[in-house]
Amino acid sequence: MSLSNRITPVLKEIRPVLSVNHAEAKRRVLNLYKIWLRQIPYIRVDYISNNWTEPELRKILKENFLSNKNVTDIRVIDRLLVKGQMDFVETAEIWRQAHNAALFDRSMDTYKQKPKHFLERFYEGHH
Amino acid sequence: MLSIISRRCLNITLRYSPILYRVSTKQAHTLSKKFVTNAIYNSKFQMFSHNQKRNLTLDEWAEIGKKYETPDSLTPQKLTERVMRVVNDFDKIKEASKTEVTETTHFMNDLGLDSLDHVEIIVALEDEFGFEIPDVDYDKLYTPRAIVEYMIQKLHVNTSPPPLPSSDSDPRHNIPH
Repeated sequence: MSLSNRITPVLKEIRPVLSVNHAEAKRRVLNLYKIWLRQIPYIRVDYISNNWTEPELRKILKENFLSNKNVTDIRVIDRLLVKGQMDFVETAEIWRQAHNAALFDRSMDTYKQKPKHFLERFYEGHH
Repeated sequence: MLSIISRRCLNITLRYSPILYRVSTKQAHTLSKKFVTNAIYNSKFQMFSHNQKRNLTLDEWAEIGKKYETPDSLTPQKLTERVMRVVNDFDKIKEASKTEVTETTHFMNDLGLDSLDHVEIIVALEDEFGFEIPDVDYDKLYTPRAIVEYMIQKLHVNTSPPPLPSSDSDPRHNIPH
């Protein structure tokens, strides 16, 4: 296409959701992490039937934040931030219940997980 | 004649004559009876009887003084102790090895910590020292030494050496006459 070589590409400016650059987004992420951290002792008590300890809760929080480590699009980060803040408000105001709060904890998943290692797959069979 | 009489009368009246007045219980209607009787008849009565601490020994005084003690002011050495204790109590650093952490260990470069771990350390420091550290200052706090300097600035810790004793008189007491 010879035309595309001559036509200069137009830069589209996208409207930001919350933050304009990566630095601002990082600051927001760290703030969200901080308020979750400070809420951890209250989460432990409010959802006491889950039998969480504070180090466990910190681990869960870290896992949830690191699962979105590789996101680079600022608007996606902003959407995740908004979701995270909504989740925080729901847990802090105890609009959730114990099973609902336990959704963040992957170790409490009850579905049968796919076998990862060789032996497990061997026992399962080559299905 | 009259002048002489008047002068004599004056002399009589002006001569000093000490008269003791005794307060009788019938006349004292402004004060209560009990107070008056106690004042006169009870020789052990004291006006300010709540002052019961007049005859204490030095040890008893020292024990009373312990209630009102103020803690010693912060020195940079105590600051570093507290900061290092907070940093060493962090989960990930404990698992690694305590002896590696010195004043100049960089959290990100030397210990390989995340920005999220850094936030955890900062939250622990906030709990220790009792004031909130704003977002802008996160960049400054990557080594324990930087943390100590930041705290010295924020808590107004006295870093000057203590004054040497000298036989010179105290200038505060040199009041000009």
